[in-house]
Amino acid sequence: MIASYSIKDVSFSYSNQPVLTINTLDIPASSVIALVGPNGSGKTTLLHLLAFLIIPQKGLLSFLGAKVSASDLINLRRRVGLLPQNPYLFKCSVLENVAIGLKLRGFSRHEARKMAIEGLKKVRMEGYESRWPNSLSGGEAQRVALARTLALNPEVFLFDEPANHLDLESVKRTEQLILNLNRNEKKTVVFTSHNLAFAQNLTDFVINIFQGQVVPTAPYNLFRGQIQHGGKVFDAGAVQFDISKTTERGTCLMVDPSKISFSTQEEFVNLPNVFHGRIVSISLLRDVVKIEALAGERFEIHAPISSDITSFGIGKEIWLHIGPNAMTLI
Amino acid sequence: MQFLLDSFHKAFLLLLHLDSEVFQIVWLSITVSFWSTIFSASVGLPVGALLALKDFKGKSVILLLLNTTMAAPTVVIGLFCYVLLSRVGPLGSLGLLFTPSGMVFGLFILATPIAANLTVAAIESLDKRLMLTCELLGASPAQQFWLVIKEARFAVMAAVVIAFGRIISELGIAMMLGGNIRGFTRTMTTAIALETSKGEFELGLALGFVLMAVALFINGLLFLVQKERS
Repeated sequence: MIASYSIKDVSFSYSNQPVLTINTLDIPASSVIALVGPNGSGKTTLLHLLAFLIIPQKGLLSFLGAKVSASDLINLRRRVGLLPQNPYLFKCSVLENVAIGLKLRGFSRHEARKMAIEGLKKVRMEGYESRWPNSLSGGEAQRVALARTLALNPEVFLFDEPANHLDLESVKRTEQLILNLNRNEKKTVVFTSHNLAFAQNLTDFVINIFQGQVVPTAPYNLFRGQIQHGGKVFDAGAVQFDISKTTERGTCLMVDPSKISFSTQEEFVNLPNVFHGRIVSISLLRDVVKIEALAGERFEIHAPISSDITSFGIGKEIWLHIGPNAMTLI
Repeated sequence: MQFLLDSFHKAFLLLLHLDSEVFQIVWLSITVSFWSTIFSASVGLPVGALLALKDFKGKSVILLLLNTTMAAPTVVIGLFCYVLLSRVGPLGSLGLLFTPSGMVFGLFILATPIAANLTVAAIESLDKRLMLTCELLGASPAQQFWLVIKEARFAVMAAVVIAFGRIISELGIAMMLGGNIRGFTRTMTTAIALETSKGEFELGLALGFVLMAVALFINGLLFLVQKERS
């Protein structure tokens, strides 16, 4: 299957500060992709890269097999539709706002208005055509911006934090819209979210972004600290990790929650990185059991549903072992 | 006091009877101001937009020069234009000195920095998300330029109205480049200055009323623009 986007050794910096460094990333056509990470992790920068608002300073970005070049940005931007987290509406009527992108693409006034009305219907904003943005609520303005993006019918939809500041009903509608775009219209949809549960409800393709890099796991167990003792120990304050078998170096250590070994009895004798504490919560997260434990720091553990967890309970003692393959330093 | 009342009375009669000289002076003032505003806006708005939207070497120097020109006394601008348009000046061959076109030229030099500066301020005060939205909608540079001007239209209209107000109330340039020739280059401001110096207040007062009416009209327009903007 041809990739909508292919990224190789791409980097982007603002004022000599690297904000995005991606070695390899392919986004398959007609897929739904979630970019998940904490605030300031580089999700929006990556989304802007995919919307051709910025071009890589180094590396290769391809769109549907063709290399992206600075000379063709306007045409490329017209093939994708980005809905920002906090969209701007022009100082004109709602209908004009939705029609504006169509007019820029050369549609006649009549055609653009007709398509804009269709776009407004899709977000249930009929009857708002002659209203001005300053008379709309935040949610209504968001829907007008969504109608503007939908009316353009782009090949790829890019949504920046689509579930942010929405009530439960609106979140459900947004989820349904994303799924419909993908299932019924075979569109590629890429969205950012700092809410993993929202992302996992929509897709299995979750790309974790942290400090401008694609990381193998969502940054649940994230510890900031420094390397000490000649590179053998990562000191995160409340806990110390033996990193003598880890080749990576950095100021953040992430622990993959699915790769933590755990037991309710004292095990892992004579092994490094064993932490003892108590279980503080147990919940079901899609196809895994999520266990939160306080063992010097708060750790999140993902256990398969099939595993025997009947002996687990809130408040019970737990021993964790974090092997070298569960740790990533960045 | 009686003298003042007589002057007001005669001034009203001049206006009431549509005195041909008053009409001719008012018409010339408005025509010269209209064309000066059109030319100033045609140059000032794009220059202001470019300065606000583009970063280039020497931009701050241009902004400083524009600000200085805004603050320059009009007689200095008049003098500079006089030298340019005088027979021995570089533009002397055009024969514009002491003509309405010469006045338009001088007033254009006066008002263009005003239009440009106010346009810079208008565009720089726009929402920072506007440019990003133009780009993500796939607007070409020309389309972006147009969309930005359109978004700043209320403030830009105010800039044009302010430039017109500055032009129509200007005296130094009109006097130096027009020469205050009766029936040819005499405007409301130059006529008021002349009649007052002669001690004949009726015509001066009549023109003063018209000028005040124009000022009221301009401020009314500005008020409407601001109201629409809010």
